[in-house]
Amino acid sequence: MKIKKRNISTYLILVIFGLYMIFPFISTGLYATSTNWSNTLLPNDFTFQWFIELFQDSNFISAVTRSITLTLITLAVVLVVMVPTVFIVYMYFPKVDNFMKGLVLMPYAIPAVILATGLLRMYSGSAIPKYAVLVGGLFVGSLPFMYQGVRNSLEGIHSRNLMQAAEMLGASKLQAFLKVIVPNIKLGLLITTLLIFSGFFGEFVLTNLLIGGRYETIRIYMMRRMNENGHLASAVMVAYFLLLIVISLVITRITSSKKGVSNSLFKRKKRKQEQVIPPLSLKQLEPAATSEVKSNNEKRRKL
Amino acid sequence: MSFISVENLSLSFGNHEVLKDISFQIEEGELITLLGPSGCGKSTLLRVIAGLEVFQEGNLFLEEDDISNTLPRDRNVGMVFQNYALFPNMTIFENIAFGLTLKKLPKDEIHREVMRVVRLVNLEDKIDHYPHQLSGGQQQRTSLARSLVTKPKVLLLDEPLSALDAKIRKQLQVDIRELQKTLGITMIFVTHDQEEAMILSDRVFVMSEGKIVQSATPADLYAQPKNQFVASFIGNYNILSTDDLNKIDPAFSDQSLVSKYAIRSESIQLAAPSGETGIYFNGKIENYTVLGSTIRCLYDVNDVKLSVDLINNVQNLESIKSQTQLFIDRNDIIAIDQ
Repeated sequence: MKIKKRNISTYLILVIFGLYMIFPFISTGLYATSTNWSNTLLPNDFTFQWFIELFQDSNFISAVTRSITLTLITLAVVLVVMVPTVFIVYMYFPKVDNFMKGLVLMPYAIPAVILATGLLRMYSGSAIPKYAVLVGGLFVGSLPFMYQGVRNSLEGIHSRNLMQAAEMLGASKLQAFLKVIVPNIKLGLLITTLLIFSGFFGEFVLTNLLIGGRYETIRIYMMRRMNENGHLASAVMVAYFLLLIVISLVITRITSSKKGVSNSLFKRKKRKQEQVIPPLSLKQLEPAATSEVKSNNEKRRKL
Repeated sequence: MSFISVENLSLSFGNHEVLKDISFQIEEGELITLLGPSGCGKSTLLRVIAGLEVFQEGNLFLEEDDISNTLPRDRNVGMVFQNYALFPNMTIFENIAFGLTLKKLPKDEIHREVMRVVRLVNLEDKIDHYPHQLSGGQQQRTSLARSLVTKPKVLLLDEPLSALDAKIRKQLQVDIRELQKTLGITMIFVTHDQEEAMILSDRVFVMSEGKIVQSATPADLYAQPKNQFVASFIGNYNILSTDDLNKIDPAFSDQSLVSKYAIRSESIQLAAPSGETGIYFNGKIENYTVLGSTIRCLYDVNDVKLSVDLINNVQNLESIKSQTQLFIDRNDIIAIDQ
């Protein structure tokens, strides 16, 4: 009976949590598929009118394209700059690493409005395009995720040992990094990338304050349309979530490929039991193994 | 000149001196063990030879070439790590082929060479597996094969068996020794296990606090420990002062200047062999532990505690408990440095 009670309460908590999480999404979905919902429990009608209107609006498509472009460019800069930097700091400057771990948390302490104001004061009269300033600002915002994400991945694969093993086998540092380290932190990198992608894609404050009027991203577009029509704004919100889910699924699909560390990291604990193999036979060491040795090998395999 | 020659090598990490004026020679085809407790510098010395640590003073020669400033990848030295360091993203075949791939050898030659070493370590049926799909012993065999395939001049092994269970460890000890003898490769093996060092080595270098305190064959090392540290690290020695020996044998006198003596616990016998000359004395057994083939007894001899290893003859267990007369051959009392 006790077990049954515990099961019911466990499920109850899960159901409440699930409802809490999904209720706003369902409500937004219902609002996005109705024309009138004011004094009733459920909407009075059902329509795709707002979605049709949304996808026929060239401004929406442009906003999505701009958001994706901005996010991809910033991500590329972050990855190209940060991955080698974190690797070098972690591998060869352990004292700097301790300092960096604290430093990269600074963006948490600075509100985006303050950051944007500071950037505007600094670069408003300069020749540096605002777009580049925005990319730089987003770059700084990604530091806590990127630094810690890459660092944890490096720690998780015992990268120092792997580097040394590769170097002992004749690899240069660059070869060891590209052939051994990068493939093995692929999973961690992609998870971090996904995290940053969703953050950049939905970024509003920096983009709006720095170049808002001239470069309408999806969040700025949402903000503008929300003031015009709530149903349409809900449709934008649903489309935005679905887009993020699709992107997440694509990245998850890529990371769960059978080959490589993505599997090994999760399955390492399922190591097979030690198999006791008889000691090596000197006969085996001779170039031409006799049939006797071959048959012994067969027996060994069967055992 | 010897195959490997280390001259007056010193290394410090900040103010901490890790290796202190180390010199030794190793001949081609030898298997040397660096033996010592944790923190004595044995792994650091191995890493220096590999080129993974930079030393401040001294010289390092391999086949008469000064490799003190040579990059690890250019030394043609192989290394097997304690935690295997296999590349998780590569299959066993790819792991072993890694070094040959970097040399850009033809594919069929890489395949031939990989399969040659795979057969040596009995992993023919595992070449398509990933490291996480193998047991610890199999992973270490892969690591060994990966190092051997590039035909290094020297193979360095940094406590390669310490993460394995006792049964697999003993089996791999035999395998490594057999491989070394067959291939004639020079190996330097790091361990803190004196039994492992005895089984594997042509010579053992015992290290303490950044210095090599004694280098000898396993038999010589066991029979003639140079000082108290080596005696206490190798086997189960009784370390006694002159006063202690006088309590056991009032007639004992030694003209040498040493003040410490080592007596192997198995050299103390129960029944006095008839006609032999030596020290006869009485002791009271305080406790004993059955270790398998031997029984380790602790005797009290005039307030001197003596550890005595006796053959475990079950029929004689009762007589061991009651026997009080002990015997030491004078030749088994070894004078050692403090």
